[in-house]
This record gives sequence, structure tokens and C-alpha cells, in this order.
Amino acid sequence: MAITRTDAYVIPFGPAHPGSGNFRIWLTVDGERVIKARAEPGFLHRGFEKLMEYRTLLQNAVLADRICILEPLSWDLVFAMAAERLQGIEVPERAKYIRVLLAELTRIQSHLIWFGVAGIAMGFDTVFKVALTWREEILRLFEEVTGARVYPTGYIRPGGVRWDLPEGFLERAEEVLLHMEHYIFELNDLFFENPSFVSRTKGLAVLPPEKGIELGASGPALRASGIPYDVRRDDPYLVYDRLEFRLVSREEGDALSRFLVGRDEVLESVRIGLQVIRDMPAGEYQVKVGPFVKVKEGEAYAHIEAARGDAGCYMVGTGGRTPYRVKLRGPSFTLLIPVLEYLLRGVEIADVPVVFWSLNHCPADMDR
Amino acid sequence: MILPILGKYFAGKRMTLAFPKESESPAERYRGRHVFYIDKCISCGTCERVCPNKAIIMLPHQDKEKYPKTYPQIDLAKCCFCALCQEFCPTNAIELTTDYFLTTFDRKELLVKPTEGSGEETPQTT
Repeated sequence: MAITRTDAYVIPFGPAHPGSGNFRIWLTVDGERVIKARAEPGFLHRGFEKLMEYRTLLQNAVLADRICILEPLSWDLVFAMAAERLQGIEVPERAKYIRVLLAELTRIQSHLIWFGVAGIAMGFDTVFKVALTWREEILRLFEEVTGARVYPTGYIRPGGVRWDLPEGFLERAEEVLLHMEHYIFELNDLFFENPSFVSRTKGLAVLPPEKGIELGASGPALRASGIPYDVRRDDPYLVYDRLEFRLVSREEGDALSRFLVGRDEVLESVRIGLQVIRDMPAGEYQVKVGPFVKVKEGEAYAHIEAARGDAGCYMVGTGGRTPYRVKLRGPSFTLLIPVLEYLLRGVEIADVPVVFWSLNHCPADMDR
Repeated sequence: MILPILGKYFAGKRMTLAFPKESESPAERYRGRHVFYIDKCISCGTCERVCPNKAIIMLPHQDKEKYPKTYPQIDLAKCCFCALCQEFCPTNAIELTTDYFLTTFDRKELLVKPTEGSGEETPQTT
């Protein structure tokens, strides 16, 4: 007896953490194929925008790194930049270089964890283990500078950075950066050029460039679709206009090209890091900002290229000790809701985790 | 492809530590358990106001004869170890050590007990 008709049914993906990262997608499937996907955010909502209205600038700097677990220093940076624009603080030159160095190290470790988790979603457990082992080298550098492996508790804060770099740090950072370059080549064999990985991701979930812009994608996901948009080049901040780096972009727009853009970005970050170490000036590393400083009247917006894309912070002050309103723009919000819903249409159930992790997102900065 | 990598890590140095017997010492700037030198404290309340998590509250001391004012009580269960209290304390009465063994069976042990003396001698953590 032949089955003539099948009914579509709905299955949830998530929100148990290892596969989906505190995030749920309702998949309407017909047989093995997804015909509709609906994202359900909110499992990790902590209310940063409201919390920031009750805290002074320095307390908010401590809070800001909690926004995204995988790249806390980038969020510290964007908050500090918005606060400095509002207050009219000019940051010393050395602090700018330290910030760029830490931001690039953050990008490298965030990309490594991206590759690792994507590997585990596809059954490449070795990739996860080695990527996290390599990431540990960067976390050790962070511990040396900020005093904590993951959460720097406001190391980059309004006025500069909290402490100067420790003795001999630049040499160790240079060594680690050179290691990273080597590791990426090692990862080529293991992951990026592995035939079972390539055949799994090539041509999967193509994001056309015009659709990427329409849905608000940014970061590696948009650059993989052939649109070389990068805040570091298009709206330079700190000292990025003085540094030499190539903007990585690819034309295909599929899952494979997103990973390859991420891989090449790590190499570019290593280049930027080495230039910063070479040019690091001496001098002051912060402008003193008092703990109970009044937030000036006015509004300011700052955005940076975080590892996941365009991260922004909008701040309104009314002369009180705390900001009147803070709006955070997380790059993962647009990646995980409209872009993911669009990309999942038509893929097979087994490919859902692959598409999901190819986007380089973080549910924490989506829910905020 | 995978065998050389496996061999490299198999023959390489052990990456883990046998935890209770050996443990890694944290970086110099690591922020762990607080030490509060009560004799240095001037009861200004800056630490209470600067704490982002409201982990510090100013309370009167039990021994009212010797310590008549209010003193900070630090609750490590609420603390995020940002060290803003240490940074803005005018008399350096609060210091963060690198002691990270904070696990306990009793919640009350997470309240930092005041240490007498000026802190010039080796800090006694409780």
C-alpha cells in the first residue's frame, strides 16, 4: 500500500543548551524537509537595557561584558565608546591601541569557539576539543591583563582601560598570535578542507546579498554573500584607519563560505594584532572618570565590528548619575530571527544545526 | 589526517591537573575573596554606593564600644568581583586576594568577616 499523503507536523529545536544555545525554533516539517521555521527568542532575556538605567557609567561598564558570553570585551568597548561620545572624553592613544589588540584577540577566540561548536553540531568532536584548547591560550592572556578569563568586569571602560598592560605582555601576545596563525592552518586539514565537512556545507542555505541586506544581516554572514561591509573600514573607530588589513568577503553565500570567511578573518585579526603590537605607543592608558560622574545631557551612538557583526549602543543622558535610556543593537538578533527563518526554509532536518551554527551567532546578545 | 594530531596530543604533555592535590595559581590580577581591614575603615560608604550588585551594605558592628560606626558587610554570594570597592576605597580598607576557593556548605560563610589590624602583616582570610 503506497502512502499517498503526508501531513506537515511541528517539531521544536531547542531550547536545551548544547544544540541550540538557549533558543528555540519551531520547525514545520513535511517528511524530512523544513517548510517553515519560526524563531522563539526570550529564554536568555536579562533586561540589560533596563538594568543600565539604574547604574552609573562605571557600574554599567561592569555590566556590559555580561551581554555576550563569547565576546565580553567587544561589548565593553562599544559601551565605553558610546559613553565617551556622550561625555566628550578623548581617550589616550595607548588605550586605543590596547583596545584594538584586545578586540582582535576577542574576535579570534570567539571565532575559534564558533568553529568548535559548529564542529560538534556536525559530529567533528575533535575540532571542538582542539579549538577550545587553543582558545585557552588567549584566555590566559585575558586573565593576565584583566584578571579574569572570561568576564573582564569592565576592563575597557569609559576613559580608557582600567589597568596598564603587564610587564612582557606584548611578547607573549605576539607569540600567541603567531600560534593562532599556525593553528588555523592545522584546522584546515581537520575541518575547513575536510571532504565530509565540505560536502555537508557546500551550497547549503544560500543567503542572496539583497536578501541579506533586507533582513539586516551583518558580520561574516553578510560578507560571505558578497557584500564587503565592515564597520572597521566603513566607519573607522579607534585606530583602525591606520592599520592595514584585507576585508574578507566571498561570493557564494552558502554555509561553507561563511565558515571560510571566518577562517580568513582570524588570519586578518592576527595581522592587525601584530601591527598593533609593533606600533604600541607609551604613555597614559586612561583618563580618570569618577565613580559617580553625571551623565551629560544629550544622546550618542557608537557601533563597532564585533565578531558577529555590527554591534551598537545608543545612549541618552539627562544630567542624572545614570543614563536615561540605553539601547543595544546585537548583531545576533537579525541573524537569528529573520535570517535564520529565511535560511531554514527548504533544508533537511539533519542540516538544521549546521545552518544554525554557520551563522556565527550568540543567543545571549540576541536576547540581551 | 587525524592520526598525526592524535599522536601529537597523546605523546604531549598532560593538560589536566589532579585537582584537590594540585591546582593552578591564578594570575596576579585575579580578583578573589575580599579582605576587609576594619581598623582602616572610615565608614564613608563609598564601597556601598559604588557596588554594582548591591553586595555591600553598611551595618553596625556587634562590638559597639570598640567600633561605634557602620561598616561594610560584603556578601560574596552577590559579588561579581569587579573590584570597584577596592579601587575607590579612600583608605585601602578593602582588598581582593587571589583566593578562589569560595565553595561552602553554609551561606553565612560567604559574608566577609572583618580582619583586625592594618593589613601590613600577612592577610588572614577566613
